[in-house]
Amino acid sequence: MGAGWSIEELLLRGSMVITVVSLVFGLVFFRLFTPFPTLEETKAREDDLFTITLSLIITVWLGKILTKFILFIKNPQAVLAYPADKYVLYTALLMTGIYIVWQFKRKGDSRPWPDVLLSGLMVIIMGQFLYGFLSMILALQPSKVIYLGFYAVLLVGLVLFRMKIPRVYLAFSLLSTWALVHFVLGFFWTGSLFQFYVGPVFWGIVLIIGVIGMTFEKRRSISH
Amino acid sequence: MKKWIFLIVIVGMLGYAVYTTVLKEKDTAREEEKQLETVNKPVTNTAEAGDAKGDPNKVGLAIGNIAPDFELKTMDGETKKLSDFRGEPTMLNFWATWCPPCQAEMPDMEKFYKDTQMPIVSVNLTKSERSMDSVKEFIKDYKLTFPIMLDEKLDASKKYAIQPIPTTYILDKDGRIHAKRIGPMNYDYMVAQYEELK
Repeated sequence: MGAGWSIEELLLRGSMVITVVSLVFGLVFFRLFTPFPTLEETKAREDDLFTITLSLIITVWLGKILTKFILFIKNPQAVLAYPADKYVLYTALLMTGIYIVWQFKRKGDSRPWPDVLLSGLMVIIMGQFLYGFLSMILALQPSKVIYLGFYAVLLVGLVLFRMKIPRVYLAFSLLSTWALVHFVLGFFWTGSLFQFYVGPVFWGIVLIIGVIGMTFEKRRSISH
Repeated sequence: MKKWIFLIVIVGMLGYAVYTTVLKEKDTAREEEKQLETVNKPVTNTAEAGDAKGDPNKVGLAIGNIAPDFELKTMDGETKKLSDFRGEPTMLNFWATWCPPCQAEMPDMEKFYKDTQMPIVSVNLTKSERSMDSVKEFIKDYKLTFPIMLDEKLDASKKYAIQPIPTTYILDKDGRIHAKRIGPMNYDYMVAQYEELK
C-alpha cells in the first residue's frame, strides 16, 4: 500500500493518460484535416500550439502552487500531487495570456492569431471528443452523451466546411458556438473541459471573446 | 476518401456511446425492479475485482456492483457499517495521515462536506499509522468534521483491495459503485459526482 503519487498511481490515474492520448489524436486530426493550403503554414501553427501547450503546462504547475501556497510551504509534495482544479486552469490561462501578449509586444509579432485560434480549437475539439468517449467506455468519469454528440457535430462541421468558410470567421464562430452550447448545457448537465469542471462564467467569457472577435473581424473587413 | 472514413468513425463512436448509455439505462431500470430482492439477500462480502461494468446484483469492486459491506469503529468508539449509509449517495474514502496526496485532498473534502452534507465514510488505515495521536493531530490540523472510521486491522482496506491511497468510491443511494477514483480528488470533481447522483 503506498501513497497516491507513485508511478503505479500515475499509470492508474487514467484521466491524465487519456488527456495526453486525446490531445495527440487532436494533433493528428489537425494534421490530416488542416485548413491551411500549405504544409509550411500547418507546421508553423503546430509550432505555435507546442509553445502555448508548454506554457500552459508550466503555468498549471505554477497555478497549483499559487492557489495552495500555504499548503505548499508546509508540504510541497501534497500540492504537487493535488489534481489541478478550475481555479488552477484560470490562473494558468491568465498567465499564458499575459505571456503571449508580452511576446507579441516585445517581438512585434505578426502571427495570424485567428489561425492559431482555429488550430487550437481543432486540436481541443477532437481531443475533447476522444476524451469524452474514452472516459465513458472506460468508466473513469461519467461523460454525458449529449456533449459527445455536440463534439461529433462540431467535428463533422469542421471536416465538411473548413475550406468553404474564411478561416477567421470559422475560428470565431467555432469558438462562440463551443462556448454557447457549453454555457447552456451546463445548466442541465455537468460538463468538463478535459478534467477541469469549468463553470458557466468561464464559458460566458469565452463566448464574449468569440462574439467580440467576430464583430471586430467583420468591421475590419468592411473598412478594408 | 479520408474525410468519409473519418466521418464514419466519428458517427460509429457516437453510435456506440449512445448504445452503451441506452443499455445502461435499461440495466438501471431492471436494477430498480430487483432492488428490494437484492438488498434483502444475504451479502457474502467477498469483493471481486470485476470488469469495467459490473453485474448490478453482485457484490464487487467494479462500477455498478454493490460495494462490499464492512463494520468499523469510529473515532468516538461507535461501531458503524457501510450499509448504514444506504439511502443517500455516499463517498467512501481510504486515507492515511502520512500520505501527501491525502493531505492535499482533505481541505477540499471538508469544504465539500460542509457545502453538500453528502455522507463521507472516511476510512483511516490505522494499522499503517505511527500512533493514534498522529490521526488525532491530523484531524485537528485539517479541522475535519466528517466522521472518521478506523481500519485497525486493515480488514476494510483488504476487502477493497486498496493499493495506492487515497482511493475513493462514490456510491449511489443503493450502495452501488458509481465511480472510483485512485489518487487525490479536488473539490470540482467531488461536486460533479454529487450532482450526478443528486
